[in-house]
Amino acid sequence: MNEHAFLDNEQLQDFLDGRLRPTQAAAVVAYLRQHPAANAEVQRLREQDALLSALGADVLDEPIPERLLEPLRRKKAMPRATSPRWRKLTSWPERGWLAPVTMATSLFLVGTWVGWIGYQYSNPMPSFDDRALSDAARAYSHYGVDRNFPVEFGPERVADLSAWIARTFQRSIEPPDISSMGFQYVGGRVLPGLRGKSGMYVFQNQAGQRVALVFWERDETGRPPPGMTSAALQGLQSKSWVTDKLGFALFGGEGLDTLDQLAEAMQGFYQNLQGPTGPVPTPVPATPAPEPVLPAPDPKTPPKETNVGPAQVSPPMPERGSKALRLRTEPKALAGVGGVCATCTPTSGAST
Amino acid sequence: MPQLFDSIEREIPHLRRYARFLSRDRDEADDLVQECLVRAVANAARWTPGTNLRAWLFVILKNAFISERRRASRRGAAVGSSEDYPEPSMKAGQESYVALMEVRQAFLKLSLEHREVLHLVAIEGLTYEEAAEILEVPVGTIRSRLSRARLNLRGFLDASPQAAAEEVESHE
Repeated sequence: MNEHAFLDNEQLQDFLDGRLRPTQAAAVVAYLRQHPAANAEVQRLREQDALLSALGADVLDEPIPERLLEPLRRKKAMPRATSPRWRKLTSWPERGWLAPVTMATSLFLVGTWVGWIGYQYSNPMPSFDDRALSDAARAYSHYGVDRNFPVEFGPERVADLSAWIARTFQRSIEPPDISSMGFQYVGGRVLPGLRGKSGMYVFQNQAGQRVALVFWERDETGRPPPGMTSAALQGLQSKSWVTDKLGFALFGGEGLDTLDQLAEAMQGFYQNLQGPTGPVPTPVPATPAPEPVLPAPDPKTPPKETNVGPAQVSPPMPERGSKALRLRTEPKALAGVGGVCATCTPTSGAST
Repeated sequence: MPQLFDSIEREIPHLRRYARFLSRDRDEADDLVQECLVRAVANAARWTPGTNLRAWLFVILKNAFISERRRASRRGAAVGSSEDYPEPSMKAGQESYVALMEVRQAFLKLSLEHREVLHLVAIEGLTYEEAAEILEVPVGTIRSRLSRARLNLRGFLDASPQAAAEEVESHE
């Protein structure tokens, strides 16, 4: 390469290792096109590098001895170290068997939080809602935060998820439209193993901030506590509220300052669907545009509601709660009458 | 933090390969990796997220290697670096096997300095800046060492029997 004044040996290294600015690299490429000999040399060096990169590849495939994994395993069971003192306390025994203790500690923290919420309700015993809320917090920290494992139903499968929720909850609980506040629906999931029935919707804004709405079927009789409850702990904030049949908790990171407004928008969204107190037999009059409709026809629920909805009477309804569902799914029923539901999917009606 | 430990765990194979380069035998190399991991875990708070974890670990590994060597030389033990890359495993129908063996032999003829800079940049894919930090030399030195290392390697490969044979064939 020495003979090519255009490209000295050190520039050549930068070129091979991709360190040149795009314009410089383009100039080198143009030069090489016109100089086959130089080009051949560069190619040789490239091949040589490719072979080099395979050196010792066998080592990479060797199974890792347990003794090398041990220092990491030992530490992985420990909670996040925030200060040297805390680190010293938690790492004191240096034993893997401490894992249950740290687990207990985090459960205690969640418990404290739940206890605090319980205090807010002025209820000495944690209610079903309190426990559900603590489950929801765990679900959020398990599923909602991790960008790589967010949802089992992405936006393209919202219909499947809605169908599942409609079957399980005996009512439709669709993801609220909060796009006007910058948040798009990312996906949702069923939350197994929680008390009763529960699901989660995850939303994300352009800045990559996430919020997750966890909802569950309540198991309480009597009137729901009014208003909204706030909580914040360990980088997590939440707003929660309940209706007569459902509990909701919205979670977000502590850096998010619009959680209050988002929660209010969502509460309004679901209140419009269900009515403020129990069933309202008349359709919502103030909804001008059709609401967001399921992208695919739901095989079970819509026909049933087609019968009940327009009649506006409710003797055959077994449960109070399912009447509210009727209002929600009425546009869907109309779509069903129209025959081709897919045509009405793109409409993103305002539903607040 | 647990995510960091998962990431560190994924780097173990590369740490072992670099340690195998630095140390003379497998067990010693794994001792080095173990020492490196213990140090990394203890200093996990000092890692800057967003920077190259492999480069950070390599600095720790290299420091562990240097302190181990000092200890060994005080003990009067023989020290030396043997870049014990294993023979590439033969895979059925792998045509590049010969080329791989040749590049390995040519690589082992290079000076330690040249081998190490190639190991870090061409094999492990580190940037010049990261390699400079590990080797404690300026970035410009990395670049000039790379240049000489690559050209020397090409020279050795040109002189290898297969290349010579091809040369003969092409002239016939």
